[in-house]
Amino acid sequence: MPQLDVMEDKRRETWDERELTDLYRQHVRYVGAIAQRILGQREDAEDVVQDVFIDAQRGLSGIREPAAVRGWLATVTVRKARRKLRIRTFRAAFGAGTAEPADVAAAGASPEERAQVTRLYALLEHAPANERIAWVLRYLEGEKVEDVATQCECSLATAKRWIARTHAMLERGMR
Amino acid sequence: MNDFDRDIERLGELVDVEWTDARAKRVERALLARRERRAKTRVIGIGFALASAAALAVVVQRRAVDTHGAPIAATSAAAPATAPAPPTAPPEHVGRVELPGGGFATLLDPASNVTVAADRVDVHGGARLVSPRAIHVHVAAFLIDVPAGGEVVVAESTGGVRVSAVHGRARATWSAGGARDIDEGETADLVATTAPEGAGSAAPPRTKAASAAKEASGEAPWKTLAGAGDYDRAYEALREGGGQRVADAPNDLLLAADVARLSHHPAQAVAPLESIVRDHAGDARAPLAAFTLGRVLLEELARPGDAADAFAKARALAPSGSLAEDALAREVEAAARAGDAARARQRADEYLERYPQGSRAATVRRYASAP
Repeated sequence: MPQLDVMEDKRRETWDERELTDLYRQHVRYVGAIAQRILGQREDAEDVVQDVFIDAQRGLSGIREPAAVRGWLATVTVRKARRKLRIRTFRAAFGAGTAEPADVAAAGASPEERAQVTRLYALLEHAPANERIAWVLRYLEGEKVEDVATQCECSLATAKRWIARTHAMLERGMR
Repeated sequence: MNDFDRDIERLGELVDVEWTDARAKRVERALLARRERRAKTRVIGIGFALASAAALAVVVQRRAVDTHGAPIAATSAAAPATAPAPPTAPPEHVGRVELPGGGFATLLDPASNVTVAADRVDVHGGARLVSPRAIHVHVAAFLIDVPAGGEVVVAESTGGVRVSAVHGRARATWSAGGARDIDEGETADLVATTAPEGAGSAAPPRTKAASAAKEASGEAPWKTLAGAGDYDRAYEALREGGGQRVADAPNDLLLAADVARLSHHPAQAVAPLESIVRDHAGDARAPLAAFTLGRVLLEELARPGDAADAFAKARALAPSGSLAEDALAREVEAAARAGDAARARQRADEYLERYPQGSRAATVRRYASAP
Protein backbone atom coordinates (compact mmCIF):
# COMPACT_ATOMS: atom_id res chain seq x y z
CA MET A 1 0.00 0.00 0.00
CA PRO A 2 1.69 3.21 -1.09
CA GLN A 3 0.63 5.25 1.92
CA LEU A 4 2.38 2.84 4.25
CA ASP A 5 5.63 3.25 2.37
CA VAL A 6 5.34 6.95 2.83
CA MET A 7 4.79 6.64 6.55
CA GLU A 8 7.87 4.55 6.88
CA ASP A 9 9.90 7.15 5.06
CA LYS A 10 10.88 9.41 7.92
CA ARG A 11 12.16 12.08 5.58
CA ARG A 12 8.69 12.71 4.17
CA GLU A 13 6.72 15.54 5.69
CA THR A 14 3.59 15.47 3.54
CA TRP A 15 1.58 13.10 1.40
CA ASP A 16 1.02 13.59 -2.27
CA GLU A 17 -2.38 13.56 -3.99
CA ARG A 18 -2.21 9.93 -5.06
CA GLU A 19 -1.32 8.73 -1.59
CA LEU A 20 -4.08 10.77 -0.04
CA THR A 21 -6.55 9.33 -2.53
CA ASP A 22 -5.46 5.81 -1.61
CA LEU A 23 -5.78 6.66 2.06
CA TYR A 24 -9.28 8.01 1.47
CA ARG A 25 -10.44 4.95 -0.45
CA GLN A 26 -9.06 2.61 2.15
CA HIS A 27 -10.58 4.31 5.18
CA VAL A 28 -13.62 6.28 4.00
CA ARG A 29 -16.10 3.64 5.13
CA TYR A 30 -14.55 3.39 8.56
CA VAL A 31 -14.46 7.16 9.07
CA GLY A 32 -17.91 7.58 7.51
CA ALA A 33 -19.47 4.95 9.77
CA ILE A 34 -18.14 6.59 12.93
CA ALA A 35 -19.29 10.03 11.78
CA GLN A 36 -22.72 8.81 10.78
CA ARG A 37 -23.34 6.91 14.00
CA ILE A 38 -22.32 9.91 16.07
CA LEU A 39 -24.17 12.55 14.07
CA GLY A 40 -27.19 10.62 12.85
CA GLN A 41 -27.24 12.69 9.68
CA ARG A 42 -25.86 11.76 6.33
CA GLU A 43 -24.94 15.26 5.15
CA ASP A 44 -23.15 16.19 8.37
CA ALA A 45 -21.32 12.88 8.27
CA GLU A 46 -20.14 13.61 4.75
CA ASP A 47 -18.91 17.04 5.84
CA VAL A 48 -16.95 15.44 8.65
CA VAL A 49 -15.42 12.86 6.31
CA GLN A 50 -14.23 15.67 4.08
CA ASP A 51 -12.81 17.61 7.04
CA VAL A 52 -10.94 14.56 8.32
CA PHE A 53 -9.28 13.81 5.02
CA ILE A 54 -8.48 17.48 4.43
CA ASP A 55 -6.61 17.47 7.74
CA ALA A 56 -4.92 14.18 6.91
CA GLN A 57 -2.56 15.86 4.47
CA ARG A 58 -0.84 17.72 7.28
CA GLY A 59 -1.86 15.72 10.35
CA LEU A 60 -0.50 12.38 9.25
CA SER A 61 2.94 13.69 8.47
CA GLY A 62 4.04 13.08 12.04
CA ILE A 63 2.80 9.49 12.18
CA ARG A 64 5.39 6.80 11.67
CA GLU A 65 3.51 3.63 12.57
CA PRO A 66 1.05 2.35 9.93
CA ALA A 67 -1.13 0.88 12.64
CA ALA A 68 -1.55 4.32 14.15
CA VAL A 69 -3.28 5.72 11.07
CA ARG A 70 -6.62 4.17 11.87
CA GLY A 71 -6.50 5.43 15.44
CA TRP A 72 -5.51 8.89 14.27
CA LEU A 73 -8.42 8.96 11.84
CA ALA A 74 -10.86 7.85 14.56
CA THR A 75 -9.66 10.51 16.99
CA VAL A 76 -9.85 13.26 14.38
CA THR A 77 -13.29 12.04 13.27
CA VAL A 78 -14.51 12.30 16.86
CA ARG A 79 -12.99 15.74 17.16
CA LYS A 80 -14.64 16.96 13.96
CA ALA A 81 -17.97 15.36 14.86
CA ARG A 82 -17.87 17.06 18.27
CA ARG A 83 -17.32 20.39 16.58
CA LYS A 84 -20.21 19.68 14.20
CA LEU A 85 -22.50 18.81 17.10
CA ARG A 86 -21.56 21.99 18.91
CA ILE A 87 -22.19 24.11 15.84
CA ARG A 88 -25.52 22.36 15.43
CA THR A 89 -26.42 23.08 19.06
CA PHE A 90 -25.30 26.67 18.70
CA ARG A 91 -27.33 27.16 15.57
CA ALA A 92 -30.37 25.53 17.10
CA ALA A 93 -30.08 27.84 20.11
CA PHE A 94 -30.36 30.77 17.75
CA GLY A 95 -33.17 29.19 15.83
CA ALA A 96 -31.06 28.49 12.78
CA GLY A 97 -31.07 24.72 12.92
CA THR A 98 -31.73 23.02 9.65
CA ALA A 99 -31.45 19.53 10.95
CA GLU A 100 -33.34 17.00 8.95
CA PRO A 101 -34.87 14.37 11.18
CA ALA A 102 -32.39 11.58 11.73
CA ASP A 103 -33.08 8.99 9.11
CA VAL A 104 -30.22 6.59 9.44
CA ALA A 105 -32.12 3.35 9.89
CA ALA A 106 -31.03 0.60 7.54
CA ALA A 107 -33.19 -0.16 4.52
CA GLY A 108 -34.52 -3.40 5.98
CA ALA A 109 -35.82 -1.83 9.21
CA SER A 110 -39.56 -2.02 9.82
CA PRO A 111 -41.50 1.25 10.28
CA GLU A 112 -41.59 0.64 14.05
CA GLU A 113 -37.86 0.01 14.19
CA ARG A 114 -37.28 3.05 12.04
CA ALA A 115 -39.36 5.15 14.42
CA GLN A 116 -37.31 3.79 17.35
CA VAL A 117 -34.02 4.71 15.71
CA THR A 118 -35.42 8.16 14.96
CA ARG A 119 -36.51 8.47 18.58
CA LEU A 120 -33.08 7.37 19.80
CA TYR A 121 -31.35 10.08 17.80
CA ALA A 122 -33.95 12.67 18.80
CA LEU A 123 -33.08 11.91 22.45
CA LEU A 124 -29.36 12.02 21.75
CA GLU A 125 -29.85 15.57 20.49
CA HIS A 126 -30.44 16.51 24.14
CA ALA A 127 -27.17 15.05 25.38
CA PRO A 128 -24.03 17.21 25.60
CA ALA A 129 -21.70 16.55 22.67
CA ASN A 130 -18.98 14.75 24.65
CA GLU A 131 -21.43 12.51 26.45
CA ARG A 132 -23.28 11.67 23.28
CA ILE A 133 -20.09 10.78 21.45
CA ALA A 134 -18.78 8.60 24.28
CA TRP A 135 -22.07 6.71 24.46
CA VAL A 136 -22.31 6.21 20.68
CA LEU A 137 -18.75 4.91 20.52
CA ARG A 138 -19.42 2.49 23.37
CA TYR A 139 -22.89 1.24 22.52
CA LEU A 140 -23.37 1.77 18.80
CA GLU A 141 -19.78 1.52 17.62
CA GLY A 142 -18.99 -1.24 20.12
CA GLU A 143 -15.67 0.23 21.26
CA LYS A 144 -14.05 -0.74 24.56
CA VAL A 145 -14.28 1.95 27.22
CA GLU A 146 -10.50 2.36 27.11
CA ASP A 147 -10.68 3.07 23.37
CA VAL A 148 -13.58 5.45 23.91
CA ALA A 149 -11.43 7.40 26.35
CA THR A 150 -8.58 7.53 23.83
CA GLN A 151 -10.79 8.67 20.98
CA CYS A 152 -12.56 11.20 23.18
CA GLU A 153 -9.21 12.38 24.54
CA CYS A 154 -10.37 12.11 28.13
CA SER A 155 -9.60 9.97 31.18
CA LEU A 156 -11.11 6.52 31.61
CA ALA A 157 -13.17 7.73 34.58
CA THR A 158 -14.56 10.64 32.58
CA ALA A 159 -15.46 8.38 29.66
CA LYS A 160 -17.29 6.01 32.02
CA ARG A 161 -19.15 8.90 33.61
CA TRP A 162 -20.22 10.34 30.24
CA ILE A 163 -21.38 6.96 28.98
CA ALA A 164 -23.35 6.21 32.15
CA ARG A 165 -25.06 9.59 32.17
CA THR A 166 -26.21 9.32 28.55
CA HIS A 167 -27.27 5.73 29.02
CA ALA A 168 -29.46 6.67 31.98
CA MET A 169 -30.99 9.58 30.05
CA LEU A 170 -31.80 7.33 27.11
CA GLU A 171 -33.25 4.62 29.32
CA ARG A 172 -35.63 7.16 30.84
CA GLY A 173 -36.50 8.64 27.45
CA MET A 174 -37.02 5.40 25.56
CA ARG A 175 -39.37 3.89 28.14
CA MET B 1 -27.25 -6.99 30.20
CA ASN B 2 -30.84 -5.89 30.80
CA ASP B 3 -33.73 -5.50 28.34
CA PHE B 4 -32.86 -1.92 27.56
CA ASP B 5 -29.25 -2.82 26.77
CA ARG B 6 -30.50 -5.52 24.44
CA ASP B 7 -32.86 -3.02 22.77
CA ILE B 8 -29.99 -0.61 22.25
CA GLU B 9 -27.81 -3.36 20.84
CA ARG B 10 -30.58 -4.20 18.39
CA LEU B 11 -31.11 -0.55 17.41
CA GLY B 12 -27.36 -0.14 16.95
CA GLU B 13 -27.48 -2.85 14.33
CA LEU B 14 -30.29 -1.02 12.57
CA VAL B 15 -28.29 2.17 12.06
CA ASP B 16 -27.39 2.35 8.41
CA VAL B 17 -23.74 3.25 8.03
CA GLU B 18 -23.26 1.82 4.59
CA TRP B 19 -21.14 3.88 2.26
CA THR B 20 -21.93 2.93 -1.27
CA ASP B 21 -19.32 3.34 -3.96
CA ALA B 22 -21.39 6.15 -5.49
CA ARG B 23 -21.50 8.00 -2.19
CA ALA B 24 -17.78 7.52 -1.55
CA LYS B 25 -17.03 8.80 -5.06
CA ARG B 26 -19.28 11.82 -4.62
CA VAL B 27 -17.60 12.79 -1.35
CA GLU B 28 -14.21 12.15 -2.92
CA ARG B 29 -15.02 14.59 -5.72
CA ALA B 30 -16.11 17.21 -3.17
CA LEU B 31 -12.93 16.57 -1.21
CA LEU B 32 -10.75 17.06 -4.27
CA ALA B 33 -12.60 20.26 -5.12
CA ARG B 34 -11.99 21.55 -1.59
CA ARG B 35 -8.30 20.73 -1.78
CA GLU B 36 -8.12 22.57 -5.08
CA ARG B 37 -9.89 25.59 -3.63
CA ARG B 38 -7.55 25.61 -0.65
CA ALA B 39 -4.55 25.52 -2.94
CA LYS B 40 -5.93 28.42 -4.97
CA THR B 41 -6.75 30.38 -1.82
CA ARG B 42 -3.19 29.85 -0.63
CA VAL B 43 -1.84 31.23 -3.92
CA ILE B 44 -4.21 34.20 -3.76
CA GLY B 45 -3.22 34.77 -0.12
CA ILE B 46 0.44 34.83 -1.01
CA GLY B 47 -0.30 37.20 -3.89
CA PHE B 48 -2.33 39.44 -1.61
CA ALA B 49 0.43 39.46 1.01
CA LEU B 50 3.00 40.42 -1.63
CA ALA B 51 0.71 43.16 -2.99
CA SER B 52 0.11 44.47 0.54
CA ALA B 53 3.80 44.52 1.21
CA ALA B 54 4.40 46.41 -2.03
CA ALA B 55 1.63 48.91 -1.19
CA LEU B 56 3.11 49.41 2.25
CA ALA B 57 6.52 49.99 0.74
CA VAL B 58 5.04 52.66 -1.57
CA VAL B 59 3.36 54.41 1.38
CA VAL B 60 6.52 54.34 3.44
CA GLN B 61 8.52 55.62 0.52
CA ARG B 62 6.06 58.43 -0.22
CA ARG B 63 5.90 59.44 3.41
CA ALA B 64 9.65 59.60 3.39
CA VAL B 65 9.47 61.81 0.30
CA ASP B 66 6.78 63.97 1.95
CA THR B 67 9.03 64.53 4.93
CA HIS B 68 11.40 66.09 2.51
CA GLY B 69 8.86 68.49 0.99
CA ALA B 70 6.83 66.47 -1.53
CA PRO B 71 3.05 67.11 -1.85
CA ILE B 72 1.14 65.53 1.05
CA ALA B 73 -1.67 64.40 -1.26
CA ALA B 74 0.61 61.79 -2.71
CA THR B 75 0.26 59.64 0.41
CA SER B 76 -3.42 59.10 -0.21
CA ALA B 77 -2.70 57.28 -3.44
CA ALA B 78 -1.86 54.13 -1.53
CA ALA B 79 -5.07 54.18 0.50
CA PRO B 80 -7.26 51.21 -0.33
CA ALA B 81 -10.23 51.94 -2.52
CA THR B 82 -13.55 51.64 -0.76
CA ALA B 83 -15.37 48.67 -2.26
CA PRO B 84 -19.15 48.75 -2.41
CA ALA B 85 -20.66 46.65 0.35
CA PRO B 86 -21.84 43.27 -0.94
CA PRO B 87 -25.54 42.62 -0.67
CA THR B 88 -26.55 41.13 2.63
CA ALA B 89 -27.22 37.47 2.05
CA PRO B 90 -29.29 35.19 4.20
CA PRO B 91 -27.44 32.59 6.21
CA GLU B 92 -26.23 29.80 3.96
CA HIS B 93 -28.23 27.16 5.73
CA VAL B 94 -31.48 28.49 4.33
CA GLY B 95 -30.09 28.13 0.83
CA ARG B 96 -30.52 30.61 -1.94
CA VAL B 97 -30.85 31.10 -5.63
CA GLU B 98 -28.28 33.58 -6.87
CA LEU B 99 -29.53 36.37 -9.07
CA PRO B 100 -27.46 38.46 -11.45
CA GLY B 101 -26.35 41.74 -9.95
CA GLY B 102 -25.88 40.32 -6.49
CA GLY B 103 -29.54 39.67 -5.71
CA PHE B 104 -30.83 36.42 -4.36
CA ALA B 105 -34.00 34.54 -3.65
CA THR B 106 -34.28 32.66 -0.40
CA LEU B 107 -34.84 28.94 -0.56
CA LEU B 108 -37.38 28.13 2.06
CA ASP B 109 -36.11 24.62 2.32
CA PRO B 110 -33.01 23.31 0.61
CA ALA B 111 -34.49 19.83 0.68
CA SER B 112 -37.68 20.80 -1.10
CA ASN B 113 -38.58 22.90 -4.06
CA VAL B 114 -40.02 25.86 -2.28
CA THR B 115 -38.45 29.23 -2.79
CA VAL B 116 -39.63 32.39 -1.15
CA ALA B 117 -38.33 35.51 -2.74
CA ALA B 118 -41.07 37.73 -1.31
CA ASP B 119 -40.09 41.39 -1.49
CA ARG B 120 -36.42 40.60 -1.61
CA VAL B 121 -36.19 39.99 -5.32
CA ASP B 122 -35.14 43.22 -6.88
CA VAL B 123 -37.61 43.28 -9.69
CA HIS B 124 -36.89 46.83 -10.76
CA GLY B 125 -34.25 45.82 -13.28
CA GLY B 126 -35.66 42.40 -14.07
CA ALA B 127 -34.57 39.37 -12.10
CA ARG B 128 -33.57 36.28 -14.04
CA LEU B 129 -34.23 33.07 -12.17
CA VAL B 130 -32.59 29.92 -13.41
CA SER B 131 -32.94 26.84 -11.31
CA PRO B 132 -32.02 23.20 -11.77
CA ARG B 133 -34.97 22.38 -9.51
CA ALA B 134 -38.62 23.24 -9.70
CA ILE B 135 -39.07 26.35 -7.62
CA HIS B 136 -41.92 28.52 -6.45
CA VAL B 137 -41.15 32.21 -6.35
CA HIS B 138 -43.22 34.63 -4.37
CA VAL B 139 -43.10 38.14 -5.82
CA ALA B 140 -45.40 40.79 -4.44
CA ALA B 141 -48.93 39.33 -4.66
CA PHE B 142 -47.93 36.59 -7.10
CA LEU B 143 -46.67 33.07 -6.71
CA ILE B 144 -44.78 31.91 -9.79
CA ASP B 145 -44.05 28.22 -10.30
CA VAL B 146 -40.93 27.56 -12.38
CA PRO B 147 -40.36 23.98 -13.57
CA ALA B 148 -37.08 22.14 -13.09
CA GLY B 149 -34.54 23.52 -15.52
CA GLY B 150 -36.81 26.45 -16.21
CA GLU B 151 -35.79 30.04 -16.58
CA VAL B 152 -37.94 33.09 -16.05
CA VAL B 153 -37.37 36.81 -15.96
CA VAL B 154 -39.48 38.73 -13.49
CA ALA B 155 -39.66 42.50 -13.82
CA GLU B 156 -41.85 45.19 -12.45
CA SER B 157 -44.17 46.68 -15.01
CA THR B 158 -46.65 49.48 -14.88
CA GLY B 159 -49.34 48.42 -12.50
CA GLY B 160 -48.04 44.92 -11.91
CA VAL B 161 -45.38 42.34 -12.60
CA ARG B 162 -44.05 41.15 -15.96
CA VAL B 163 -43.04 37.51 -16.22
CA SER B 164 -41.19 36.10 -19.23
CA ALA B 165 -40.79 32.35 -19.52
CA VAL B 166 -37.41 31.90 -21.25
CA HIS B 167 -37.28 28.12 -20.83
CA GLY B 168 -40.16 25.94 -19.77
CA ARG B 169 -43.71 26.89 -18.95
CA ALA B 170 -44.23 28.96 -15.82
CA ARG B 171 -47.46 29.34 -13.92
CA ALA B 172 -48.52 32.37 -11.96
CA THR B 173 -51.18 32.38 -9.27
CA TRP B 174 -52.29 35.26 -7.15
CA SER B 175 -54.03 35.99 -3.92
CA ALA B 176 -57.58 36.34 -5.22
CA GLY B 177 -57.41 32.86 -6.65
CA GLY B 178 -56.45 33.70 -10.21
CA ALA B 179 -53.98 31.70 -12.23
CA ARG B 180 -52.27 31.91 -15.60
CA ASP B 181 -49.87 29.70 -17.53
CA ILE B 182 -47.00 31.44 -19.28
CA ASP B 183 -45.70 29.35 -22.16
CA GLU B 184 -42.07 29.17 -23.13
CA GLY B 185 -41.12 32.31 -25.02
CA GLU B 186 -44.19 34.17 -23.81
CA THR B 187 -44.24 37.32 -21.70
CA ALA B 188 -47.21 38.07 -19.49
CA ASP B 189 -48.06 41.28 -17.73
CA LEU B 190 -49.83 40.42 -14.53
CA VAL B 191 -51.87 43.34 -13.35
CA ALA B 192 -54.72 43.84 -10.97
CA THR B 193 -57.30 44.78 -13.56
CA THR B 194 -56.35 42.64 -16.56
CA ALA B 195 -55.89 39.24 -15.01
CA PRO B 196 -55.92 37.05 -18.12
CA GLU B 197 -58.13 34.23 -16.92
CA GLY B 198 -60.46 36.59 -15.13
CA ALA B 199 -60.58 34.35 -12.12
CA GLY B 200 -60.59 37.38 -9.91
CA SER B 201 -58.53 40.48 -9.52
CA ALA B 202 -55.12 40.19 -7.99
CA ALA B 203 -54.22 42.09 -4.90
CA PRO B 204 -52.54 45.32 -6.02
CA PRO B 205 -48.92 44.40 -6.71
CA ARG B 206 -46.12 46.69 -5.69
CA THR B 207 -45.30 49.03 -8.54
CA LYS B 208 -42.59 51.63 -8.92
CA ALA B 209 -45.15 54.34 -8.41
CA ALA B 210 -46.52 52.57 -5.39
CA SER B 211 -43.02 52.06 -4.02
CA ALA B 212 -42.23 55.71 -4.48
CA ALA B 213 -45.47 56.66 -2.79
CA LYS B 214 -44.63 54.31 0.05
CA GLU B 215 -41.22 55.82 0.45
CA ALA B 216 -42.70 59.29 0.40
CA SER B 217 -45.27 58.36 2.98
CA GLY B 218 -42.58 56.62 5.04
CA GLU B 219 -42.55 52.84 4.66
CA ALA B 220 -42.11 51.09 7.97
CA PRO B 221 -38.36 50.90 8.67
CA TRP B 222 -38.51 47.16 9.36
CA LYS B 223 -39.86 46.54 5.88
CA THR B 224 -37.20 48.68 4.25
CA LEU B 225 -34.49 46.81 6.19
CA ALA B 226 -36.04 43.45 5.36
CA GLY B 227 -36.20 44.45 1.72
CA ALA B 228 -32.46 45.09 1.86
CA GLY B 229 -31.89 41.68 3.40
CA ASP B 230 -30.82 43.10 6.77
CA TYR B 231 -33.01 40.82 8.86
CA ASP B 232 -31.26 41.40 12.17
CA ARG B 233 -31.89 45.13 12.07
CA ALA B 234 -35.34 44.59 10.61
CA TYR B 235 -36.17 42.40 13.60
CA GLU B 236 -34.87 45.03 16.00
CA ALA B 237 -36.97 47.68 14.25
CA LEU B 238 -39.98 45.40 14.41
CA ARG B 239 -39.44 44.66 18.07
CA GLU B 240 -38.98 48.34 18.95
CA GLY B 241 -42.26 49.13 17.25
CA GLY B 242 -43.96 46.39 19.23
CA GLY B 243 -45.05 44.78 15.98
CA GLN B 244 -47.58 47.57 15.54
CA ARG B 245 -46.51 48.29 11.99
CA VAL B 246 -47.25 44.81 10.74
CA ALA B 247 -50.50 45.07 8.83
CA ASP B 248 -52.95 42.21 9.15
CA ALA B 249 -52.33 41.27 5.52
CA PRO B 250 -50.63 38.13 4.18
CA ASN B 251 -47.81 40.11 2.55
CA ASP B 252 -46.81 41.86 5.75
CA LEU B 253 -47.34 38.80 7.90
CA LEU B 254 -45.22 36.58 5.65
CA LEU B 255 -42.48 39.19 5.55
CA ALA B 256 -42.60 39.57 9.35
CA ALA B 257 -42.31 35.80 9.70
CA ASP B 258 -39.32 35.77 7.35
CA VAL B 259 -37.69 38.53 9.36
CA ALA B 260 -38.14 36.53 12.56
CA ARG B 261 -36.91 33.28 11.01
CA LEU B 262 -33.90 34.74 9.26
CA SER B 263 -32.84 36.84 12.23
CA HIS B 264 -32.84 33.63 14.29
CA HIS B 265 -36.03 34.23 16.28
CA PRO B 266 -38.11 31.30 15.06
CA ALA B 267 -40.51 31.40 17.98
CA GLN B 268 -41.57 34.88 16.85
CA ALA B 269 -42.32 33.57 13.36
CA VAL B 270 -45.11 31.35 14.65
CA ALA B 271 -47.69 34.07 15.41
CA PRO B 272 -47.70 35.79 11.98
CA LEU B 273 -47.76 32.43 10.19
CA GLU B 274 -50.62 31.16 12.36
CA SER B 275 -52.42 34.43 11.71
CA ILE B 276 -52.26 33.88 7.94
CA VAL B 277 -53.43 30.27 8.24
CA ARG B 278 -56.24 31.18 10.62
CA ASP B 279 -57.41 34.60 9.40
CA HIS B 280 -56.51 34.49 5.71
CA ALA B 281 -57.16 30.87 4.90
CA GLY B 282 -58.62 31.85 1.53
CA ASP B 283 -55.45 33.62 0.45
CA ALA B 284 -53.21 31.88 -2.10
CA ARG B 285 -50.29 32.18 0.31
CA ALA B 286 -52.02 30.45 3.21
CA PRO B 287 -50.74 26.97 2.22
CA LEU B 288 -47.22 28.39 1.98
CA ALA B 289 -47.63 29.94 5.43
CA ALA B 290 -48.83 26.63 6.88
CA PHE B 291 -45.92 24.80 5.27
CA THR B 292 -43.42 27.32 6.59
CA LEU B 293 -45.01 27.04 10.02
CA GLY B 294 -44.53 23.28 9.89
CA ARG B 295 -40.86 23.67 9.08
CA VAL B 296 -40.27 26.18 11.86
CA LEU B 297 -42.04 23.95 14.39
CA LEU B 298 -40.25 20.81 13.24
CA GLU B 299 -36.73 21.98 12.69
CA GLU B 300 -36.30 25.00 14.84
CA LEU B 301 -38.68 24.62 17.76
CA ALA B 302 -38.58 20.83 18.19
CA ARG B 303 -42.38 20.50 18.16
CA PRO B 304 -42.84 17.65 15.68
CA GLY B 305 -46.43 16.88 16.71
CA ASP B 306 -47.53 20.46 16.00
CA ALA B 307 -45.43 20.45 12.86
CA ALA B 308 -47.26 17.39 11.54
CA ASP B 309 -50.56 19.24 12.06
CA ALA B 310 -49.24 22.32 10.24
CA PHE B 311 -48.14 20.21 7.25
CA ALA B 312 -51.56 18.56 7.24
CA LYS B 313 -53.12 22.02 7.23
CA ALA B 314 -50.93 23.10 4.31
CA ARG B 315 -52.28 20.19 2.34
CA ALA B 316 -55.86 20.71 3.42
CA LEU B 317 -55.72 24.33 2.26
CA ALA B 318 -54.56 23.35 -1.23
CA PRO B 319 -54.98 19.59 -1.81
CA SER B 320 -53.89 19.92 -5.44
CA GLY B 321 -51.46 22.76 -4.89
CA SER B 322 -47.77 22.70 -5.64
CA LEU B 323 -46.93 22.25 -1.97
CA ALA B 324 -49.21 19.29 -1.34
CA GLU B 325 -46.64 16.59 -2.13
CA ASP B 326 -43.90 18.16 -0.07
CA ALA B 327 -46.30 18.79 2.80
CA LEU B 328 -47.43 15.18 2.89
CA ALA B 329 -43.83 13.91 2.92
CA ARG B 330 -42.99 16.34 5.67
CA GLU B 331 -46.00 15.21 7.67
CA VAL B 332 -44.64 11.66 7.51
CA GLU B 333 -41.28 12.80 8.83
CA ALA B 334 -42.78 14.98 11.54
CA ALA B 335 -45.09 12.21 12.75
CA ALA B 336 -42.17 9.77 12.87
CA ARG B 337 -40.12 12.26 14.79
CA ALA B 338 -42.97 12.75 17.24
CA GLY B 339 -42.96 9.01 17.84
CA ASP B 340 -46.35 8.59 16.18
CA ALA B 341 -45.46 5.57 14.08
CA ALA B 342 -49.07 4.81 13.15
CA ARG B 343 -49.66 8.25 11.68
CA ALA B 344 -46.30 8.19 9.91
CA ARG B 345 -47.14 4.83 8.35
CA GLN B 346 -50.64 5.93 7.33
CA ARG B 347 -49.40 9.11 5.69
CA ALA B 348 -46.49 7.31 4.06
CA ASP B 349 -48.93 4.85 2.48
CA GLU B 350 -51.03 7.76 1.28
CA TYR B 351 -47.98 9.49 -0.19
CA LEU B 352 -46.89 6.41 -2.11
CA GLU B 353 -50.38 5.90 -3.42
CA ARG B 354 -50.70 9.50 -4.62
CA TYR B 355 -47.11 10.07 -5.72
CA PRO B 356 -45.53 6.70 -6.51
CA GLN B 357 -42.81 8.47 -8.50
CA GLY B 358 -42.61 11.44 -6.14
CA SER B 359 -39.33 13.13 -5.38
CA ARG B 360 -39.53 11.98 -1.76
CA ALA B 361 -40.81 8.48 -2.41
CA ALA B 362 -37.51 6.84 -1.48
CA THR B 363 -37.46 8.51 1.93
CA VAL B 364 -41.14 8.07 2.60
CA ARG B 365 -41.09 4.39 1.63
CA ARG B 366 -39.06 3.64 4.74
CA TYR B 367 -42.05 4.54 6.89
CA ALA B 368 -44.67 2.76 4.81
CA SER B 369 -46.41 -0.51 5.65
CA ALA B 370 -44.66 -2.34 2.87
CA PRO B 371 -41.24 -0.73 2.28
